Amino acid sequence: MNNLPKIVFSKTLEKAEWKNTKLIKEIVAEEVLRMKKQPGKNMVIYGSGSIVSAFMNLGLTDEYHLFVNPIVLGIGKPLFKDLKDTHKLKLVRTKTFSNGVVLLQYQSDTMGGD
Amino acid sequence: MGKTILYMATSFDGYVAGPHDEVDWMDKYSDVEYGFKDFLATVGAIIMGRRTYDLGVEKQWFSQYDYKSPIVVVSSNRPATPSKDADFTFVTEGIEAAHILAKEKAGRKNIYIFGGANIAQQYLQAGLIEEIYIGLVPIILGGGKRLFENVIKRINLSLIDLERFDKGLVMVHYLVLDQKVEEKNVKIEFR
Repeated sequence: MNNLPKIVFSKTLEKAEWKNTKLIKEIVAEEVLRMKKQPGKNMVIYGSGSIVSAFMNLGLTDEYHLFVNPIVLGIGKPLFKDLKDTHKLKLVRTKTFSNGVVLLQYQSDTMGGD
Repeated sequence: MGKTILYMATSFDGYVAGPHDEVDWMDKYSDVEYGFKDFLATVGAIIMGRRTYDLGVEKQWFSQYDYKSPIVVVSSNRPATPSKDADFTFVTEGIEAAHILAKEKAGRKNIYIFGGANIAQQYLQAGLIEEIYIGLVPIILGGGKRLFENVIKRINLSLIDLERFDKGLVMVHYLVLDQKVEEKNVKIEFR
């Protein structure tokens, strides 16, 4: 994690001190698309807040890997909010863990279904 | 002794209907064989809300599908001419009275909480649900009517099973463990 290249999107942060981190003020689709075209491995959005919906609204998220914990909270912060559209998914993989956590892996279904 | 089981489908992000009550996103999964018949074979009584009953009559669910079990409808009144497509009983004394009646009717078999979301929430909040099946439809709606809206407590679950079906449908099956009212969260909710 320390060595991997990191991009932090922030309007308020002055300087990103963490090793190998690039600070970007705005989420610009063209910029992210350019990064996606670069050779190398995948990029992962690690963490929540508004960046999840911002990327989804710009159509920049290709896959969703979500760990579902076996608990009903009823109220709290939803992961998906402020979305402009619905997002169709394609199930890729599921995995269950002995502690009851479930991993659900979907691809963005840009073909709009079957 | 039968169990009381919630069995519903939601979008991946937990909505039973979209922002304008739309459920058309579920339509293309209606032909997926996901073990519903096997589940129904364990059921001795069904509980549903009045709106769900009215919707079912309108959409002819009860004439098209033979649910076999008696259906207890939680309702504020009895309809003038109840549907004859299933064995309906209308209970106006609330969810707990409906549950007692459904238990009598179900005998040793399970009670199936059919929905809608409002009835499901009332039974969850009352602590009467013992198992939960959720059919996860592969779509993110981003808004709408949440299955667990108005459930103002934490409910710890234990995963019984996860199954994958055609068209990317996933069925998760949980046992309800302990339930705890979260007073801190209640304050946030009504702030």
